[in-house]
Amino acid sequence: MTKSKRAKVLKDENGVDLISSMPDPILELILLCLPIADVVRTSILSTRWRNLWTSIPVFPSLDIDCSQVIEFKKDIFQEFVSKVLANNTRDLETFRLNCANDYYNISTITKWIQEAVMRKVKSLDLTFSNSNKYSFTRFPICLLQCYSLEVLRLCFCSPNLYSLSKIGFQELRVLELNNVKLVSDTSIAVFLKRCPLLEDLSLIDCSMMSSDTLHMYKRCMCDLHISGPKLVILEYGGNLAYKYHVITFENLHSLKKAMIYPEDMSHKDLSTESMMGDNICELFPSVSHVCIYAARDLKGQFPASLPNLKTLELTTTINAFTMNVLIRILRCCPNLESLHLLIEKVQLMTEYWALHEIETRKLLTDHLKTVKFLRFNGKKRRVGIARFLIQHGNALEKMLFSWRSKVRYNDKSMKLMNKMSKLYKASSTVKLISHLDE
Amino acid sequence: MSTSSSSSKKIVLKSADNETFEIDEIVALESQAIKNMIEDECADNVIPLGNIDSKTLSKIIEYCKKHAESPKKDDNADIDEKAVEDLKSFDAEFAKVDMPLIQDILMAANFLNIDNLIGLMCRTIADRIKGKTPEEIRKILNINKNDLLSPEQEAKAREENSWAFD
Repeated sequence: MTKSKRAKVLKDENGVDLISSMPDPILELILLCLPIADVVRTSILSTRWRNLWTSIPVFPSLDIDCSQVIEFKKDIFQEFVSKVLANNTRDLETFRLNCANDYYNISTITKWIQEAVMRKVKSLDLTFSNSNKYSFTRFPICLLQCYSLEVLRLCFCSPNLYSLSKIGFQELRVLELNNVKLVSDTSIAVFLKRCPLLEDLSLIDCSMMSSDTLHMYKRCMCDLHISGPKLVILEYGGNLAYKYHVITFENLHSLKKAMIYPEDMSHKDLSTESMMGDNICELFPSVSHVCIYAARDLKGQFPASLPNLKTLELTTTINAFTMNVLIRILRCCPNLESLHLLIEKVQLMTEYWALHEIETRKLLTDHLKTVKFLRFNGKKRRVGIARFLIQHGNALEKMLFSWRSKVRYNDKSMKLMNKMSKLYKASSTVKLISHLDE
Repeated sequence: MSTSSSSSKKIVLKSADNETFEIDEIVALESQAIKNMIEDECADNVIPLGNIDSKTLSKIIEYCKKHAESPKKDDNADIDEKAVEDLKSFDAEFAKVDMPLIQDILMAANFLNIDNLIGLMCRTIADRIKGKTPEEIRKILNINKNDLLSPEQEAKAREENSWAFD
């Protein structure tokens, strides 16, 4: 009933196919709201739609993932991409292209990038997998003048970060580069300074040309993902896990040493919840695999397992969040034997640690063989931590107190040893050692 | 059915099925077509809309009313975000109707020249056909079966842009 009524009202000869009777500009508006592949597929809907999409003058975005397509006419596709990009009467929001095969040579890709840059592209995301044959080591020059860029992801070339360090992207929020070649360890620091809005930085498979060391001093607030199977030494200065900004590490198979220094710790208000960044981890060369914590691991990005980590040195303030962080680290390191604690400040007594969970208690006490207290000062709360670990550390073999001050060392150390030796010990073989720090 | 407030000028719209709707002029001005008629002083007391049925017209009036009440972007640079959010959620709710009605509204909005509503309906249609197969889209949009491509034509179209199919 309703159909016949509408048909009468609209005086449409076919009655029901209302959409096809609409004027071209309306149908084009619909097409402009669709991803480009959907747009192209409308060409087989009916004769009305057959060439409709080809009359759209300019697309605001070009987002194509054809990595799964088997039948592929590369010439036609290349022509299509070039044609869609070429119309520069309108700024380009996104140019994303994911091709599985190495069909296109560098000059074609560079031309596409140039066209996208001419259209003031905001988001550029190019992946050409299986493209080992490329030796595209220079960053496309035209990109360096692309001030409109907000998001840049490139997975096909091995850009040399030195070329990036000469310029910055004022609007850039997200940067992901694969196979990055770092010429000098300061280039990235310089580059980061020139990207004041950067929120998310991923350098995947960095390779070092001059050294095996990466020094990174972060001046801006951003999420940071560090991944590099050949990285041996990582030194990082900057904010750690501040508010919603987190650092994640993966693929660091070769890392032998990592040092992380939070920036300007002294100026931070330690009382605020977001300040769990105030941990400094230092891991010595003796470790074969390394994990550096993410203090507020809200996104669950902590590495699943670090089976080779044997030694962990942790400089930390003990507060309400420390134990959670520590537990998370221990959970990832089933073979950790030695924990070196350099406790800077204790804000929370051991009884307030979140240790009521059986699993938590087990992790903390079942596989630790050595605990060292570095720069120990005999303060009551630190002693409390030591007491807890002695009373619960089933596997504990050695507990070492390294005193930092000569003042009344003999007296204080004797007292502590007496106190400790009287305690119940979960492990009967635990050795207590006390010495003066050099 | 009528919409009224005390003193403002009224416009009466008459649908194809002869139902009349009295609305504030400010609401009617959301339609560029009616605005032009009023400005050219060629609008009588009653504006007949011979190609819009009452169901569609009442939906359109609902939309125009809400949008006429909301603060305009160009009026004030810092309109509060709550109003924007409110309008957004109104639009989202408004679009939750069946495809024949969406198309009727789009057709009518095009006739009445209500830009925002045209955009909303086009986005809604796009959302409903996004990622669907051509066969599914034909069904959703009720595309005329007599108008299909021949198998040869379809094969050619697929081949031209094989990357987009499959």
